[in-house]
Amino acid sequence: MSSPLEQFEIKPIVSLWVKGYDISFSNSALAMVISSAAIILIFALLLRKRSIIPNLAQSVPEALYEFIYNLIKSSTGKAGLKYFSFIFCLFLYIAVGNVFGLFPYSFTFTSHVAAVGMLSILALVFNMIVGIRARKLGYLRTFLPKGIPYALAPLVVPIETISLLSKPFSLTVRLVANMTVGHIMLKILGGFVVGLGLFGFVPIVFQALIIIFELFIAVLQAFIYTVLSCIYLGDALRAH
Amino acid sequence: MKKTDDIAKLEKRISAFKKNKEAQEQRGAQISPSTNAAKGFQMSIELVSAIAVGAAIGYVLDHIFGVSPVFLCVLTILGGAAGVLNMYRTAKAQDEGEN
Repeated sequence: MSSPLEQFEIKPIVSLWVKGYDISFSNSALAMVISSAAIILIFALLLRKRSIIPNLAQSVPEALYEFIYNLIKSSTGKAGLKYFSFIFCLFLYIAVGNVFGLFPYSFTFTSHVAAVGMLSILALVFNMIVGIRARKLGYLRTFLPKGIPYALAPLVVPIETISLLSKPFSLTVRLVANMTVGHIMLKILGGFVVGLGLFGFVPIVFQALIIIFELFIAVLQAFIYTVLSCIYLGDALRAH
Repeated sequence: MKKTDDIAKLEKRISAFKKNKEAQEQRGAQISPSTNAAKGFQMSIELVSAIAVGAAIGYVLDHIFGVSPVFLCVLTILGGAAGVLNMYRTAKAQDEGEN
């Protein structure tokens, strides 16, 4: 029986080395391309006929749009709505990536620290740029909140810096841990189905239930990731 | 006579719908990551990640300045402080969301 961790192995599809750096097109990259293409295709298909009174197909993306719109509005206020497109893309990319990973023989790129970590760092840099643009030098107040005496600055500034830098790390670990655990569990239960022979139908029932649960977790984790990015964006836009 | 009855009924339905919608909007404004288990998980991750990031920064600074393990010790402790601060802020945000 193969190892339950085998599914997370990155294998190059098209080998490519540039100046000693491996920039091969891997199965992870393929999964990303497929999920991105799937988002664009599904949205293009559903929004083919655009009318003021939406039909069923059109109301699905509209409901999603409104959902994220209200989320940003309630966590960052009106000022955050300018960055709607970024947050919306983030949500769709992670949600579709998570769900895509549940298909047999596919690859879950959201279970890799490298992929999600880069996304989180991107979100952090984006938040910093937005914060600096909105508050200019006042953004430096993030590192020394109002009401703290300057004598404490040598202690508070490093603490606030670590606090800021730990945000993308905690975002990444949460998503990656949830995805990895779910997939390992599915694989191990799958091994039981084969190993138990005639009694294999018992783990199959569990498997079916866990697949539904994993589908829920996949969307929930994308939602939590988006909510927390919204909260961090709100923090960047206004002082504590 | 019948027409006014119909209009009164319609008005009732509209006002009921409006009330319902307002209540829904208020509920939608409170965003908190679902269950208590999720909250606990978030707290633990926040504490641990801050310590890990502090230690990592300390390790890198030690390598740059060649004063191992001064920065590692100091920044790990400060990371713990940052973790508690993160947890406190999350708890405060959740309290505000519930009230």
